Amino acid sequence: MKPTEENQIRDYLLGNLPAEQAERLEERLLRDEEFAEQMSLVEDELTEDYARNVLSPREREQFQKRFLSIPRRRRKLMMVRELRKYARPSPKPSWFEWLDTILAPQWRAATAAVLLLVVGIGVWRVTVWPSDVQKGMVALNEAYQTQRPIEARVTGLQYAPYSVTRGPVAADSPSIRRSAALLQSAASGDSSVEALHALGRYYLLQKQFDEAIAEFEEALKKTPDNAQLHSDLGAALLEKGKLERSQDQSGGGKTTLASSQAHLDRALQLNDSLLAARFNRALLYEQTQSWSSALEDWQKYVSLDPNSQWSEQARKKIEEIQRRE
Amino acid sequence: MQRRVTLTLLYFHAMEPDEDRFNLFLSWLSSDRDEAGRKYEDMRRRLIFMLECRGCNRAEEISDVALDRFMKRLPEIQDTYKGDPMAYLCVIARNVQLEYMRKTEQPLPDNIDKIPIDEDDPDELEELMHECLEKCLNEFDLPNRKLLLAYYEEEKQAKINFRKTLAKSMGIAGNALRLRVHRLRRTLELCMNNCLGVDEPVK
Repeated sequence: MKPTEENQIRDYLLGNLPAEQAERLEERLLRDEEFAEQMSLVEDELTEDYARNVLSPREREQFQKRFLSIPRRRRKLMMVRELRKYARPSPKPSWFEWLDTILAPQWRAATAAVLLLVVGIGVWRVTVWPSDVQKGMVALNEAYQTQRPIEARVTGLQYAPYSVTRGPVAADSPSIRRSAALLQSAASGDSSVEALHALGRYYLLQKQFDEAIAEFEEALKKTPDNAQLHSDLGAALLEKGKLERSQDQSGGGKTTLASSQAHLDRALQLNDSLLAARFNRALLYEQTQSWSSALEDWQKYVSLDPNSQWSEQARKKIEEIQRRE
Repeated sequence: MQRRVTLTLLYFHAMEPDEDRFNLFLSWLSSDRDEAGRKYEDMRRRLIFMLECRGCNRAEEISDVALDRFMKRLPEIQDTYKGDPMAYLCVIARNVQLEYMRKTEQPLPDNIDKIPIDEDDPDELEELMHECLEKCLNEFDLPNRKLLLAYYEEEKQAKINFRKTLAKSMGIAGNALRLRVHRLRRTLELCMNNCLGVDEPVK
């Protein structure tokens, strides 16, 4: 794309092009597919510039008036902001950029030491930056990367095949010990929702269901509308209910499973696309032998998350239910 | 595409029950029904984009009204009209937009970029957006995912230098890199819309 053409498109999108030129450009937009794509590209880049806060005050105002009245463009702006956050998980020191811009050759030797110091501090910040909760979750994911000890899906945990074992999980792997130390220390330190939630996940994977439930409930007192917390509490109650049922064949676990359903329903009410909650509710329906509801939830799960390994498991479940019917 | 044509037919039924007019329009676009459907879809998509570029927040509705007016005029002009029909359609769309603006346009509030897209809770939307982004990025193959994230990693001057280096390392020109990332972003946007439950054409 020629720079003049690009500038013209940019002016048009911001509403700066004279009417006659704008009309010619619009007709070209309708006739010429390649030109339409170029215009869409410039639109994307303007959105990105707005998100980066590099537009002039006037351009910014024009952008707000012309762009942000359109829901699709507001959504695109949100997507770009989210993408930028996602691409840069740890904040970088702003003096990096400052040095890059102002470092002239004559100052290079004099500032080399400063630069080294800056790099050193930067490396230190990047490596030390993650909180105990984050590090604990990384360790927890490492510990259960080859198999998961419970059938339910726990938020923040990657896929691993379900391995059927009875009784509590032996806490003998270094990763498990590390995650326990980090998460317990984090939860006893600030008792933030994030810390309580992470510790609850740890207990859940250890099959210490009562402890897990206590942590999740404590966290929910602070954020009652957190869908992920409801999902994990539902998962803990589901696993506990299954255990009670296996120990007492005459109707044991009923109350616990009912309570699990209430939390999973609430999670999906708060966020209908929350995959873990959908997965867990399908498991729960299987436990209560509500086969048509289970089938419906598995099918919905597959439609929401068609390509993951969780989905493969969901497909097997669908086949099993259909065979049963 | 088939679904869109069906939906559009339903729309016209709701507006004015004249399927014949729509069929005439499709056959005027092409004798092949599928090809005509594709052309219609493409025409509508670009018209919506043009109206959005004009700052119109009811682009889909207005483009449908413009297309309807065009279809109404078609029996009179189809044998005699010379030149590119898109120019004529463009004029109709502008007129419809002006009529609409005269009737409804209100000044925008100052905090427009803080207003949530729908009626949803913004925190919840942000959380959902994050989940959808993660899910959609996972659907990309690794090189494309890395490219997209790398493209958004750097800031300002560092960004410009980084993108130049990136293009060079891929053995392509800067413009080709921009276009490649643009197409990835469009795929991402489409996936995000599906994930968020938004039924809207991606431009």
